[in-house]
This record gives sequence, structure tokens and C-alpha cells, in this order.
Amino acid sequence: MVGVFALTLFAVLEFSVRLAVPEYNPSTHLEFSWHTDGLVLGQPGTTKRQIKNTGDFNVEVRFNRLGLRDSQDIANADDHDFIIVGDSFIFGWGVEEQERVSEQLESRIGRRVFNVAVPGDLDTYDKLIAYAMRKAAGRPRVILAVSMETDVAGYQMPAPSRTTAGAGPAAGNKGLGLRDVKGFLTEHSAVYFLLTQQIHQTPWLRDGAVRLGLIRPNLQRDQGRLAPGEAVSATAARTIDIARRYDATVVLLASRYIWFGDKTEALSDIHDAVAERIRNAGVDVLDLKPVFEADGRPLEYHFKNDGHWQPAGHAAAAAALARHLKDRYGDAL
Amino acid sequence: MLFSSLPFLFGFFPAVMILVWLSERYGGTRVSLSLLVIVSLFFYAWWNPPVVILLIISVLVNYAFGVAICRAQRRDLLALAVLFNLGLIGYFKYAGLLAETLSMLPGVAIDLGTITLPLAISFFTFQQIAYQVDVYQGKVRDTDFVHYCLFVTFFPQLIAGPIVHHQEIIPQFEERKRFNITLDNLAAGGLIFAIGLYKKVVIADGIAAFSDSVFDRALENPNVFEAWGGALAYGMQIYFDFSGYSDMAIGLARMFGIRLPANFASPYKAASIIEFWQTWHMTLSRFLRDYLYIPLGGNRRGDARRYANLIITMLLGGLWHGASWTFVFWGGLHGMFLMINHLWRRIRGPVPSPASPASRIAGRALTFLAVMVAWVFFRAESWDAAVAMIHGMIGMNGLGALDGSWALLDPGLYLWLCVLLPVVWLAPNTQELACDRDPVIGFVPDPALQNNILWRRRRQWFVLFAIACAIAALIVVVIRKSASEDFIYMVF
Repeated sequence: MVGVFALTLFAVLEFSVRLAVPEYNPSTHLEFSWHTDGLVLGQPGTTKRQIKNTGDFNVEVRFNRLGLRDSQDIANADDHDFIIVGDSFIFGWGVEEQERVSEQLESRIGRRVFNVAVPGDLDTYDKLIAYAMRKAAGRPRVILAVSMETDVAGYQMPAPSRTTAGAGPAAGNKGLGLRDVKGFLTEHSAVYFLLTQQIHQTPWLRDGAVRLGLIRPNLQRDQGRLAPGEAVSATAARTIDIARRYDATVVLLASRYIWFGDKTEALSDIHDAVAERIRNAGVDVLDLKPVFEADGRPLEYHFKNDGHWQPAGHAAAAAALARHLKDRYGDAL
Repeated sequence: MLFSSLPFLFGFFPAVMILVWLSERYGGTRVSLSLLVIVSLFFYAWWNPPVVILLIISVLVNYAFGVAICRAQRRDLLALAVLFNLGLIGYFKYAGLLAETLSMLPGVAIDLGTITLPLAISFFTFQQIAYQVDVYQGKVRDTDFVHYCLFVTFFPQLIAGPIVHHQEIIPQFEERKRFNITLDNLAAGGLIFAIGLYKKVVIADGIAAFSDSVFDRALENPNVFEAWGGALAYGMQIYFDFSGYSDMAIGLARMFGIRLPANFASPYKAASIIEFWQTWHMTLSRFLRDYLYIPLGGNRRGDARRYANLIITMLLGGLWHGASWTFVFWGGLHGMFLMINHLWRRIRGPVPSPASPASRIAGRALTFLAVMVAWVFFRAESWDAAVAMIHGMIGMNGLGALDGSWALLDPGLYLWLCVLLPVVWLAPNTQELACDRDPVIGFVPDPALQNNILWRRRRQWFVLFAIACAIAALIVVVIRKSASEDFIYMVF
């Protein structure tokens, strides 16, 4: 009897949560599943939700006919326009489309800025630029955003995740069996999402789950990874190669572990080393590290439980990038 | 305060139950009834406190008329009472429509400003008109002031019915063994309420997002999938909204030991429009029949007059729902459907009872189709929007992409419809499931239910299912933090 009731209750709950709160339904969550030109993009013409069970964000993501998150069509891009390419930060992980660096930059410089970012690595960016150039009417100018947290650390991006819970730089969990179960439930159960949301957003439940080893607070997971010297060199070389081919402006996105955790100094040194190598190669570089450090509270530009930028982070990056592009292009902007 | 809101579920209702139980125990029935009147007025005032004054005035004036009519049995007093009620509803509900319509004439410009529509004015006005007629006809002799106040304001049925007769309710309050908060009544009422709460907050509010997405942008010419999806979604939304409300009202009243009349009995199972109106908003249909259709002459003056009476009754029934010509058209459409239905019965002659399964299925499909088309006019924001929807439904706006990449509608709706349509067509309703507990006045289970496995085995699963529904509904209520949609019928 208890088993029948438990099953009935779970079925009724799953049905109810999916219908009454569709944003908790995993099938409505952000996913990259459309394979084209060696890339994995969003399903063209779909609208998904990106929602974090910790309550940091709950936003809408619309993919255009090319599988990119941009209400503008790159087919209209000409030589005076910009495309900006990068990973989840530039994609606008956790923020609405209009809050992203690309949209804020566009309003600041008066030129169209096409966002062609998806979570990935330097190879992905290279393919994305080529994809955009093939679709564009002209040859737009390129802004290449390199994430020091993922690209430089030699971090291999996992296969694009169906949901927000396992994607981005905060991904990863130990304990194979538990991870498998959690992964399955994350991808298939709205009730599980609801449950984890309640745990994450209720301090005493969250503390209890942490003590039991069921969850780990996101910002305490990895404390940053120290990239080996070869990774630093390879990343810089790959960045320089792409930047030279497209005469791109390189934007360096600092890892939040420069300001948080137990490897801050070492990571800061790596950041500076990469910046210096690229700059020394004659590539145009904007380093966002000093920009974010300017007011002494760099972590406030990030979500509390997720490493990505809040709208304020996007705004700060857009302001710095606008100034930089005006300096670089002057009247030609 | 909605029945499905946190303040009601965890504040108002438990407090009222405790107060009424205490007052009944220590003060007697009279004190309990007076207390119920006060808390009902508080419940009504929650939305818009000043408007409760209008309700109080309406109750006092109608009570005075009732007493006078009871003593004198004068037709002119009845006419005055009806005129007072029609004047009240006419000003607050229809003056705007009249002014807007007259302003369409050349050289006429009438601006009445903003008139606040008092909540549930159609319900408490019609209920009081029925009372005046019943008093005049000698069906009601009780002129007790507290009884009258409670008859109008009893909060489980105040905002959207059922529209009750005085003689249905008041004797129950006087009957000691009935008006009683007991574990049996709490269990029976609680189960019915839980099912209703689930229908409202999970199904009706959940499916509303789909219908809103199409109807709110109907002027963008929905394709055939979007238009039908929007219409079907609204058909499901209003069904579960009103069915859920009716269950909640019946369940709440039952927790006090009071049985309300049945108001909703699986109307989408109807095999004809006549059956549909015998099962949809049953107490309104009863009111329209007894206080409008029959006084107009009903079917006693020949076929032509009968059909005219039907059309007039349904046109006014449509207008009762809202001050808009789309509501009138909806009523007229149903009047026409009823007329065709009666004509068809006359042409076809008597049918064997029970009807063959094939004819019932055909009748059910045709009735469902007609009702869904009519809902478009009921829901659309304007005449143009309704026409655009109908154009979409008959394919004039194109078929739309077969891969479901539609601008106005999430194709996931069709999956939900695969679940909900069998429920409304096949599953037993709440009264049937709870029939062992004598849930409503005048309910007799359909004999065909003996073949329905869900009904035959109800004792084994109904309680568990209702508890699961209650848990799910409460979780949804808490997640939404009371951000539930209003009941569709409460603004009528």
C-alpha cells in the first residue's frame, strides 16, 4: 500500500509540476543539440529556459534560425559590424539577451554587434567565426573573448549538457553512482529539480545536504585549476593564430578564482602571462581583469552560486570594450 | 482572497473553522450563523473593501423587499425588487457597454468614466432575484434576517456560485444534525476540496499559459494548429477552472456540514447541446430556465415561440457572463445550437434508450466541436480577435510548420491534451467518485458508471489519489506564492 501510494504520489507530483510550473520541466531547459558545420548549437527557432536551482537566474533563451542566441540575423552583417565570439560568458549564461555584453556594447558604440557565442573552447570559437563569416553579407570585424577559467586551464568542455545544472565552468561532481542518478533525474524529472531547488534555497536543508555529502556549494568545488606551462603556451598560440587571421580584438575574461580560493596568486600570474604573450605578438588585447578589480569588488560581478557574470558584469565588460574599440578604430568605428 | 491562495488555505479557512466550531459549541447555532455572515463579508471585502458596502446595501434592500412581499404578496413590490436588482447590475456591469455602443452612433459621445465592477455581482443579484420570486410565489416563508444574510453571503458560494435557492440552504443551517463540523464532514469536504484545488491550481492555471499565448496574440493570424490548440486549451482551462471552483465550493460548504446543489457534471461527456446545458453551470441553467425561459412562455406557445424563447434566454445568458458583444454572440450561438438540437429531435423522432454507442460518440464529438468553437467568442478579447481565431481554425491562415515551430503556441500543448481529453471524456467526476459521502443536493450517479473501472474501484484509490492531489496542489500553491490566476467565473 505504501509503495502504491508513493508511486501514485510521485506520478501525480511529476505530472503536476510539469504542467503547473513548466519552467521546472527538464525538457524545456536550455540544450545544445543541433549539429551543423562541426558545431553543436541550439535547435533553430526554439525558446528554452535557463534556470538555476540555487535561484541565481531564470531566463529565456531564444535561438534564431542559425541556432545562435541572437535576435539579429548574421546574414545582415556587413564590414562595419562586429561579431563577438566566446564561451558561456559571452553567450549570456544566466542573463536575458538584452543584458548581455554584446547588446550593451551595441548601444554604446552605435554599431551592430552579432553574438555568435556558445559554450566551447578555442576550436569552437574558430569554427563559430568561420560559420558566421559564411553566413554574413560582408566581413564583419571580430571580437574574440577568451575565458581564462576554461580555455587557458586546458579544461576540456564536457559534451554540451541538456540542462543548466551540469554545464559551464561550475560543472563536475565526484561519486560515480550518485552522479549517475543525479544526472538522470536532472535530465528527466521536474520534481527532482523542485526538490534540489528547495534544498539549495533553504539554508538549513542546504547545510544538512552539504554535511551529508549530497551537494557541494558551487563556488567551493574546484578553487580553480592551475594550467601547466604547455597549456598556457598552446592557448596563447591558438588565440594569436585566430586573432591574426581575422584581425580580431582579443578580450581576456579573468577567472573568478583569481579573487577567490587558495590559488589566487598563481592563477593571477598565469592570467598575466597569457595576456603578455598575446599582447607581445602584436594582437589587440583588452584585459578585463583590471576592469573588474577597479572598484575592489570583482566577485560582485558574478552570480553568488554560479561563476558567470551577472548583468552588472556584462555592463562593466561592455563599457570597457566600447572604450577600447573607440580607441582602436577611432573615426573608422 | 481566492480559495487557492495561501492566506485562505492557511489563514482564513482554518481560523473560520475553529471560530465556528467554538461558537457552535459555546454560543449555539444563532451565534455561529451570525459569525459566518461576518466572516463572509470579511472574505468578500478582502478584494476591495469599499465594494462590500454595495453588497451590504443590496442585501438590506432585498431583505426589506422580501419581508414586504412576504407580508403583502403584491406583484408591484416584486416588480420594484426585480427592477432594483436589474438597475444595480445594469449600472455597474452594463452601463459601460451601453455607453460604448451608443457612442458609435454619429454625434453621440458618452463617457461614464471608470465604473468598478463589484466582484460576483451577477451571482448575488440573480440569487436575490430568485429569492424575491420565490417569496412572491409562496415558496419561501422564512424572513429571518440572519438567515437571509447568510443565504446571500455564505462565502463558499458567494463569489461564483452555485446559485442557490433559499429553501435549499437555510433549512440545513437549522438542522442540528447537518450544520455540524464533524470528522466525517471534514473528511468528505476535504477530499472534494482537494480535488477541486488540484483542478484549479495545477490543471487550469497550468494550461492557461497555452491558451493565453494564442488568444493574447490572436490578431497575428494563428495557423490551424495554433488556433485549434488555443481553442482546445481554453476549453480545458475553463472546464477545470469552473469544475475546480465548484468542487472547492462544495467541499468547503460540506466541511460545515452543508450540501450545495450540483453545479458541474462532466459536461464534455454530453452527447448533445441540450445535455451540455444540463451539466454545465447547472444552477445558472436552472435559474435561466425557471426565471426567464418559462416566464417567457417556455415551450407552451408553439414551436416558433419556443425557439424564440430559447434564443432570447441564451442571448441574455451570454450577456450575464460579461458586458461585451462577444459574450452575447456566444450566448446566441448556443441558443442556435439548442434550437437546432430541438429541431433535430423533432425530425428524428424518439430514440431507443439507451442510445447506441455509435450515436453517443458521434453526438459527443459534434457537441464538443460546437462548444469549442463557441468558446472562441467567449474568450477572445475582441470581435476581430475571435474572427482571426475562427479563420485560423478553418485553415484560412495556413497549416503552419509540421515540425511544431510555431510562433504563438508551444506544441507541447498537444501532449497535455492527450492526457486531459480522455479525463474529461471518460473519467468519473468528483460527485461520482465521492457519491458514497452524499456530496451534493440532487445528484444521482450515471448508471453507465457501473462499467467504469475507475468508479467501481474508487474505494480503493480515491482517498489516496485525493491526498496525492492535495499534496501536489499545495506544493504548487507554495511555489507560486499565491500567484494563482483568478477564477474565470468570479468576474461575472
